[in-house]
Amino acid sequence: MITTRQLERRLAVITNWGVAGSFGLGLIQTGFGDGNVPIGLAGFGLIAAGFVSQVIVNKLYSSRFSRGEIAFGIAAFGIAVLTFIFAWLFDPAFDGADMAIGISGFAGLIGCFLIYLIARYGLKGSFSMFHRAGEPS
Amino acid sequence: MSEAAVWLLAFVAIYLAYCVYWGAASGRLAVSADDFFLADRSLPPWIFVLAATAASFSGWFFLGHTGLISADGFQFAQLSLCAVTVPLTGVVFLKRQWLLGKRYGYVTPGDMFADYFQSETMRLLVVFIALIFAVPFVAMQLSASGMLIWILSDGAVGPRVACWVLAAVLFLYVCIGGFRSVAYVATLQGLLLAAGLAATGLVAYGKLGGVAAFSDALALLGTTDIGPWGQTAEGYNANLVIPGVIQFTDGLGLETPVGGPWTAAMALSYCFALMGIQAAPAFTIWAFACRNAKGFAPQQVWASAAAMGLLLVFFAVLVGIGAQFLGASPAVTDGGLSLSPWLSDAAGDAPGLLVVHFIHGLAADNPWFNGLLAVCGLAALQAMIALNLLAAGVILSRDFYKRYLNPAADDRSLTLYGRVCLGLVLIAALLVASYMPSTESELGALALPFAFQFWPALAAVCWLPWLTRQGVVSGLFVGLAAVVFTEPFGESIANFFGFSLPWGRWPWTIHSAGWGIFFNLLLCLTVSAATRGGADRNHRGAYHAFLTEAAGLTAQQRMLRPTAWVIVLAWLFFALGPGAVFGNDVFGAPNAGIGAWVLGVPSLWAWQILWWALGVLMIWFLAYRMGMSTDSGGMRASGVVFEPPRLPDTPVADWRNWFWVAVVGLSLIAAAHWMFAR
Repeated sequence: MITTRQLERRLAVITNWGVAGSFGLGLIQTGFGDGNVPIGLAGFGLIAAGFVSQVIVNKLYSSRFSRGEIAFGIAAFGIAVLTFIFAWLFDPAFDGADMAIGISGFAGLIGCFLIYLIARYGLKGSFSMFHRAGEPS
Repeated sequence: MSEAAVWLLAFVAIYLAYCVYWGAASGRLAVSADDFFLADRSLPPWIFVLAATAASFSGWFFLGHTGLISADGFQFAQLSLCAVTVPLTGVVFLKRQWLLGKRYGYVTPGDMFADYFQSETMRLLVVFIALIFAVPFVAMQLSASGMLIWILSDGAVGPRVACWVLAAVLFLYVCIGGFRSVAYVATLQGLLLAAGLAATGLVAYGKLGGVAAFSDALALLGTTDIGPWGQTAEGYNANLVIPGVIQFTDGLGLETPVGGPWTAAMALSYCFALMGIQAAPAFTIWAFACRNAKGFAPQQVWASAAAMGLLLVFFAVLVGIGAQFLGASPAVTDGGLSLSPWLSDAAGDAPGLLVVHFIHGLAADNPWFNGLLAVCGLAALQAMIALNLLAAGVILSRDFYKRYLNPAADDRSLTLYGRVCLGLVLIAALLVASYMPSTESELGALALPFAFQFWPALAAVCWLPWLTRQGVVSGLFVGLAAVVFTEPFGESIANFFGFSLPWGRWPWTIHSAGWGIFFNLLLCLTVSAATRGGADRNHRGAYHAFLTEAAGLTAQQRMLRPTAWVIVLAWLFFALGPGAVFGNDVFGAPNAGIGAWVLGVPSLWAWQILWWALGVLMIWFLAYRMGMSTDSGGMRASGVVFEPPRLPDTPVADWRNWFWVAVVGLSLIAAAHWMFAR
């Protein structure tokens, strides 16, 4: 049975993404739709802020990203990147502003993730973590 | 159905699913009545910070406050400083109520007052106020929710249907999860409220073309008399100034104040009403439910005074007054002062719905934004509805059912009756919202000024042992009566019996909360002086001895006490009291043009920003430096649940006697109405 502390952490995570995620995705959508680079980047900035907030929540609750959260995060990021690439390749209305938003935004998110890994596990530890993850159990 | 309506319904569906999820998750932890009523007194500080802020500011600030700024200009925007006064009530009382709750195991404010004053009347008054909050006040918020969905869905969903569906979901999660679910859901509601206010403010900023363009437009407006209140007695445009310290008018409805109703006296007394938010019974329950006191100071200083203050002083002004230049004011548009006539004509018709029209204006270009901001508005409204609904259920269950009907009730039946009571209260609120709109507004207007009348009672419990039961109870009765008879409900009562009051609403431009507290204090102090001493004093002294031991001032804080008094009184005088009128032209006359404005914005706005910043410092000083909201005691022991002494089993308590008293009383009232009413 889930404890009160676990429930509170879950609440913090969902609340955080409820605001940062909804406003962030909306702004990204408007940024791409209107070709408005500042608005699109503000959306990516909110997603990055949501990620940083979750790191803080993890710290406060002495926990790490759960497997479900990691899976969800990677899947969502992967789908978003693939959608961006397909739109770039096949959407005739895709222009320079869209490219600027997408490339800067995704680069920023990847940067955040790398900074987190290095801060959390150290430079060597981050590589070792991936190395270990690839080994047969 | 339009694309905006589809986005709206999708966002609302996700939001409602979120509410139900937390209701179910909290419900699994609600084993005992203490779990259901008070979340096992274990809510962590960060939840308190977000949820209490949502409940304090709620839909009124999201919708009503901004709308009235648009209607009445900077004279109403002075009330944005309530971001400082609302938490002031919490600074003064919250920690001490929390300490008493931990020490004595109180569950409801009725428990606390009845035990401290040894008065069942106080318990019943708490029940009465909680019901005023829970039925008409909740009905007002439910109506606003329905209107919001109706307008933003382009009429695809009717207001009544929306109202009932939202209420059903609300009932579901409050009923299943109890106080924990109310608090959990309110965390998101708090963030959405702030995000919604910020987002609408930023949109207004963009539409106006920045603060410089906005100020230029205001400077032009200052040279005219355009606006609903024309010019003040000093010849300034009433949009840009406070129309005097006080005006001795007969009251709204009988005599119109020159230059608008929001004099300094009105601003101060209206802020008193808003200070009732944290003096209301529901907030005492909040105090009892907290795990520790660590959340109090951050909520009061940073979340309320600083963050909400920032949003109200800057963003609400940009939306509210900015709307006049965006098409909401036909007079401004006709006068050629409009910057971008982007809002629909309907936006200026009902001030309370301005923000809804503002959001609707975004639907064409950004339909997702329409849906998301609608959820922000809904969340803001529901934060206060859920808290007051739950409080009514808790109070009726403990202070009425268990106290008077079934003293032997166990946890299971208490929880059951709590759920039944909150269901009944919600149905009553829905019926009022759906079928009695005038009753809703008349009774709903009483809620906050009524709650503010608890200040002397709370002061007695938390600080002043020399205030007696007789003084507090009689003061409270007179205060409530004064509130009633300076509001439209009092006029309706008078008309029912065939006569008219010689004054209108808010005579002398003093809000009913101001009249109420004046008479309340007058009687409370007089009667307390006449009934001081005796065994009751020793009884009350025990509570204060505990509070002095647990929350007494240090030597340094005792030295700072006179300074604190001076700071608070000076702030109240200059920010909201008579000194606020200095702000009218101290930084440049409103009609002298932008070149004469020292800070590049209207003098009164600059004055509001200045006193907001000083207000944050004041709340910080009281909460942290004076230790009024911090606790060095760490985790305080709890585990006791207060059990009031049994009531004497006398024939007077027999319900049949009270039934016949009610029958005779109602007959007399009906006869008086039949004989005298016009």
